[in-house]
Amino acid sequence: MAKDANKLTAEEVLTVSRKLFLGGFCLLPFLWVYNLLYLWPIRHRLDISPQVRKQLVGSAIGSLVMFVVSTTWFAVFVNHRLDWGALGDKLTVVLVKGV
Amino acid sequence: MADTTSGRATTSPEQRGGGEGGAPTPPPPPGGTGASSESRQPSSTTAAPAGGGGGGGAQSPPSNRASATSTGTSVNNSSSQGGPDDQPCQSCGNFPARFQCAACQSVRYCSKECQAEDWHIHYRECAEIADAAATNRPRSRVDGSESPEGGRGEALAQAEVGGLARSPSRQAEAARGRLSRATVRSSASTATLTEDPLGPEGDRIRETANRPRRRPQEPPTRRPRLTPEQIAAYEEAERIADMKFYMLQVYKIIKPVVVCICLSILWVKISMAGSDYRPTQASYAVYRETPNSTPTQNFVGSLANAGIIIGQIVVVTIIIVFLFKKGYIKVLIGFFMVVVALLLGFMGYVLVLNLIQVLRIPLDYITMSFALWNFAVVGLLSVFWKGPMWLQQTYLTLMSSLMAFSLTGLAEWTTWMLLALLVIWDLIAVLCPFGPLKILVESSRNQNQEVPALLYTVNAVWFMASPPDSRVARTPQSGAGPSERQQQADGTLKEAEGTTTAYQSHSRATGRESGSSIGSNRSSALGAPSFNLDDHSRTSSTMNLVGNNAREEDAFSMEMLDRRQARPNSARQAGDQRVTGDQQQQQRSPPQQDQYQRERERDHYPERDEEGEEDDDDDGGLKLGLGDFVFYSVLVARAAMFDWVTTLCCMVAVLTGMNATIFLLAIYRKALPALPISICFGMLFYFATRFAVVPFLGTLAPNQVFI
Repeated sequence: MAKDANKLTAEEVLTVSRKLFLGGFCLLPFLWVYNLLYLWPIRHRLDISPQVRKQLVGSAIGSLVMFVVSTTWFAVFVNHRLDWGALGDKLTVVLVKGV
Repeated sequence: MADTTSGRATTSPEQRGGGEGGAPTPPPPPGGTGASSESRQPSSTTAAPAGGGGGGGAQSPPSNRASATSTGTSVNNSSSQGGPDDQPCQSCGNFPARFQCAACQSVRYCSKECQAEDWHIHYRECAEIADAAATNRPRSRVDGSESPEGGRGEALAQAEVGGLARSPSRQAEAARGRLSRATVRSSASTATLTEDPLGPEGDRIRETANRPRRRPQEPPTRRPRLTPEQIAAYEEAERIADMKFYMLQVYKIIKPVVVCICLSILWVKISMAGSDYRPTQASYAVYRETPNSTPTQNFVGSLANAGIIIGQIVVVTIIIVFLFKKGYIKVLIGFFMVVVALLLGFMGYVLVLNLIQVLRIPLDYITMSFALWNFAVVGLLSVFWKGPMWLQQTYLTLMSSLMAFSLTGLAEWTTWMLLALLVIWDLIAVLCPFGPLKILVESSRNQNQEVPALLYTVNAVWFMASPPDSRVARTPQSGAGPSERQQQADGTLKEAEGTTTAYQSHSRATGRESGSSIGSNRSSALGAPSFNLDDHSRTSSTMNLVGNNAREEDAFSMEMLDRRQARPNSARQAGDQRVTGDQQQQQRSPPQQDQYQRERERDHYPERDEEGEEDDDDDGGLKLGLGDFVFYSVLVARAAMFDWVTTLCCMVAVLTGMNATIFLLAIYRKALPALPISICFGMLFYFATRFAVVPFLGTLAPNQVFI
């Protein structure tokens, strides 16, 4: 049930933000993005606790880091999978067929 | 209120009599100097920038010219409009505001001083409003020249003018006085006795027809003493308003359906471009089509296959209805969560396999599982937990297309047989007295509980209010109390808000067993007083332009508090004010911040009790089972496996069928099966196109015919 962020009470905002922030550490950077998308527009509401803002910034940093990490990994994989031989083939989900 | 003196030099200001006694009072002198009536009867005396130059052209503070027309009890109070406490003083927010701007008759003040103070704000809109009224006058004057106001139609004209340029947020900010202004006009016209068989009601009847609705079939307002013609006209107007409402709903529902269908087509087209991972027939299928099996074998075999699938659907639907009826909502939600997780995870996986093979993307297992895990978890959260609305809608649409994609694995005969059986099942389930979906919809209404994960709700705009409250009791004479009107204003507010930020819905996910029903919910207890949508926003935009002086803010919050006392658990207002507040915040200078903060804090009190109420507040609106999304998409996706002409024809046919269903919904006003018409159209067009149009086009292509 989607809920408009503007309608969340201050406590709810805090809970949501904390859950999403902590959840993000289970290899779920999308949750950090989710957190940002959801709560970023209301970060200036005066009734919400400053902790929320910290968690939002944390989410932003975390998602950025994960983005860089996963992009780097993918770049390395794409460029080196042929060099890795059998391991590279094993890691590939669907072997790319020739044309 | 009713009596309005036109401040224009060209028209002789005349009092509009009427009301209970119907006795017209002598016209007050233009710019008369009567004392404002202190009676409880609303008397809108004017203290207005009335002077020469047509409609408030004056730029100076009007207090020196303010005229207070003595109106006394001649004021029309027979209509359902409220008293002086219905609209606060524009400047200080106090009640009662007994003076009215003579030029535009839309704002009210409690004293001349207040008006003078407000004039530097009000003059911007005053001329506009007055002009709008003036342009409408010739047409609207039905009863000859002694009707100075031409109140008939004036409100509508203002609506048109006011509706031209306005941002939603401004509208949101504005809704405060809108209703009462409309009230002013419509009650003015009430007094106009014409040859119109509808009499003075005609105006409001027309407004009723034109008023945007937020849910179908608002219960009628108490309207005292109407002639049969008037009642009939009101019914007609209500019907028109309902139709308009459903048309808007069509626009809202058609977008996700089209997106879902297009996504399914995309998946099918991609998977057909040489993928080894196309979804295949389920293992429980008892019959497999082979190219050389006879039609009879195909028919019987596919009937068996489709029967198995339908059987599953029936069983699961009955289980769901049983659980829901017994109130095991948590079990249901858990079940749906499993379904959604499997759908997102597994079908997401199959789709990714198709995509990466066809697009030749070298993807490693690490990245893929990471992405799928994230995708599925976010989907679960957004569908079943709090989250932004657009994300939820995206996921629901995506899920439906995934589901449809998985069903494209069925063999051709089986698909058509399944769709045909589904049509029958849908008819039975929704229309029969003991049809499970009918029971589901009814018990959902009775228990006032949303069916979890079954329906895609189009309620970007539903924020309807709860039943009338104590304020109605305070003004028992007015059929629609101010609070009701306020609620409507709030609803409008929300509407405006919805376009920018917030929609809330209960749209949730569903598995394939989701029912195929369009339910229309009409549990509103709202009165339907006539109001003018647009005047109000003008005020607010003006308020915005001027920035906010603290007084206005005070007025606003006072008013809000006042209302809240009357109706402590109103979610709407808090939300509204927050929107307003957010907007205002940007314009506010730092010293005002603390005041803002106070306001904020006040806002949050009512919110806590609202949580429970929220659910029944926003569940009006058109609901389309996700099952319908899925099977529309299945049909079109099956057509997409043939060729493009067929695909497009089927898509148009399905959407037309959906519109027809919604149209029927507007007529019958009960839950209707959404599949039969669409699917029948779709199948008809599929076979017609496939066996007639495509060969025809094929013949035309080599032997071109030019006309």
